[in-house]
Amino acid sequence: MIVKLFMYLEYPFVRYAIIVGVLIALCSSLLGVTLVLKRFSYIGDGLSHVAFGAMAIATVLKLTNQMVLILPVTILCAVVLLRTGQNAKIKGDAAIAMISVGALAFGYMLMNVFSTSSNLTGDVCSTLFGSTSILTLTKWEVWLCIALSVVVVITFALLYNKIFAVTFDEDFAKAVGTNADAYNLVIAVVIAVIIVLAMNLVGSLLISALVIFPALSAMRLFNSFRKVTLFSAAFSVVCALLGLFISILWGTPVGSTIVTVDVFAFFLCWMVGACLGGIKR
Amino acid sequence: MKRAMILMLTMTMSLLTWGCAETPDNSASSDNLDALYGSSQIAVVTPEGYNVYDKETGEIINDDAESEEYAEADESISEQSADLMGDGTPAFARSTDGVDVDLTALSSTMVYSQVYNMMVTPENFTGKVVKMQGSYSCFYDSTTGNYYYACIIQDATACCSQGIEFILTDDYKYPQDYPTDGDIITVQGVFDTYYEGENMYCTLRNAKLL
Amino acid sequence: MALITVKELSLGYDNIEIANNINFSVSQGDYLCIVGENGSGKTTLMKTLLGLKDPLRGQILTGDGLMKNGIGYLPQHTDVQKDFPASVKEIVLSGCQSHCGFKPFYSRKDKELANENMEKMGITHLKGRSYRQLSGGQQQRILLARALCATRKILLLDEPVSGLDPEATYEMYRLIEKLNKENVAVIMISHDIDSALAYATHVLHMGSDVFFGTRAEYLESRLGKRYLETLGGGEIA
Repeated sequence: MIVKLFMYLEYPFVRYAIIVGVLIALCSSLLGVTLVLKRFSYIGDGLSHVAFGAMAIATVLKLTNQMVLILPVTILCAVVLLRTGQNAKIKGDAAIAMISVGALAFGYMLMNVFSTSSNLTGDVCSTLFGSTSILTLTKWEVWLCIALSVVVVITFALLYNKIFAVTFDEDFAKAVGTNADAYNLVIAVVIAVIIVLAMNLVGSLLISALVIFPALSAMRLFNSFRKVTLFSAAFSVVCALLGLFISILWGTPVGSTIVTVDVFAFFLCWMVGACLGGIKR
Repeated sequence: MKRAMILMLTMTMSLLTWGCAETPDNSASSDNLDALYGSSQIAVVTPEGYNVYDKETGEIINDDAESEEYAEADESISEQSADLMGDGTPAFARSTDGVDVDLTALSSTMVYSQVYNMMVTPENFTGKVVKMQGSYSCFYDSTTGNYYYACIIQDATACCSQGIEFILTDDYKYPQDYPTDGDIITVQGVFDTYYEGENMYCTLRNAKLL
Repeated sequence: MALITVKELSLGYDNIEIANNINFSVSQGDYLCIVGENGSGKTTLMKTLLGLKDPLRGQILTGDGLMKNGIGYLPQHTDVQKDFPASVKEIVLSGCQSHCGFKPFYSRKDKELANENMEKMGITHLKGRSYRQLSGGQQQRILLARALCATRKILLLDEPVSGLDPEATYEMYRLIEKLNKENVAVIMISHDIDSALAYATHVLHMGSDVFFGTRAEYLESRLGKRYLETLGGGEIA
């Protein structure tokens, strides 16, 4: 089996898939901690549906480079949903639901009415579930993903302390003069970028898993924000790699496999956390 | 925290450099072969069929070797044969007994991706012997008046499918030797592209059903 | 010049006024207690002072070199914090954000300041512990240490002893008193009128009538007496 794996690794598209998969898993887990703690776990789903709607519009308009439309639209929606910060918590889930479902329905209807592709169901299904889109990336897409991921990781590293302050206690942060609104905005933009990228890996419907499971697993085991962030990044990368390898070796859909691995690993972490008598120091 | 992040970034960079390194798809090296198969024999495709040579003595061992023995053949076999024979045998004249790209050895996820790649970068695969398994489909296009036969494969969620057209050799008579729509078939042929009008299509020439 | 001077302030939400005619000032070393019934706008006033909400009318003036990032704040507990995975050190350090500006990392001075404040609050032994596992009293002291990291001049405390047991309550007041003696101005919202009056130098009573004055004046005033009666409070020293 290892021999087979190494044989598969000789294919360039497999290597691209691994690179992109690892980067996406890394980025989404970093921001995932913040999102989960701000009670915005479902934002991944909402924004990915918006991205799907934008993709539908881009397809109908026959744009060659769909990112030109998808990224700005998603970023805009992210800003609208997240920027209001803590106060939006009350309206947050309803807003996400409205936008998410509306975009999905609108997108699918557009694609049907203006059917531009012979295999409409297939395209939609592939975008929603990400069965093999990660294995069919062009080199340009890989470079774009690398560039955006590097930007995200650097942004996160530089703004780490501020993100912590704003997530833990936004009122305090604002009271002492931190420009919490600006950082919320940056977080929103970064999340939008990650979600558009992650659509390639696990598809629109399963993105929330990439955001939630690493963070929750880490919170079962660790206590300081730094350890939680680092562990959730490591967890996400390992699960993504494992999921990719399993799906390549046994012919299962990529997105679902990665999420399944995430779920199992989460239960593992939960049990370990419970066995260690609560939380490890 | 700083150190951990720097370490992570470095690891990521190394991973990227390794991954994006140009791998010539057509790399030929007998070391590759030895590592994978540890065999002292080598199969070489010729216009007449193929021969099995002993690598050290250069003698032909068995010239009716079954292609199944070499079903796991790496793409480099074709390159090696091209080097040895030195002929620019065009695709439609080549024999299809030695397999360069064996899709039946891959998992379904890989097959789908590989076929997609073949569609997107056909120049890397033209002239190679491809073996694949899928369901048979026959399509009659009234505008061109031609029948098209294809081998269809589905991706893991079975919601997307793609196929490669194939053209069977004259040994097969339509309709008695041809399969029925929906049958699972294994087809082996030489990958090639052709133009119909403005569109480019991919096909397997000199195909035979296994 | 007072640290904070408030003139003719009017507070409210969405153009609904909940309090008006507020005038007071706080100078270095003052200890102001804000009291009043529920809904009289105490927390809103504090948030307005901090710039988290806009006033409907009136002015808030700062003086004596007080900057926006020189104010320490101890807010009421939020839901987010109950389950937040953060170590005590991280939380106290986050108070230093106020003077970090755009710098991404904390300097050694910041870390020393955090250690110093943890020492002051008596929580150094909890440095590596997780916030969510500690008792209410300990959590409040951590948040107070954090507030101290942000300021040397003035602290705004929103019901700092709510939900604490008597011993923790006493500890808290003692610590605040100690800080006040070090010339840190304190503005505190409290329901615990007895203890509050025990320590305060000035009182601001919010409600249908607004009163501001020293503690002695308050005890003499009509408002003060009536409030104390309704609470059944005993003699205040």
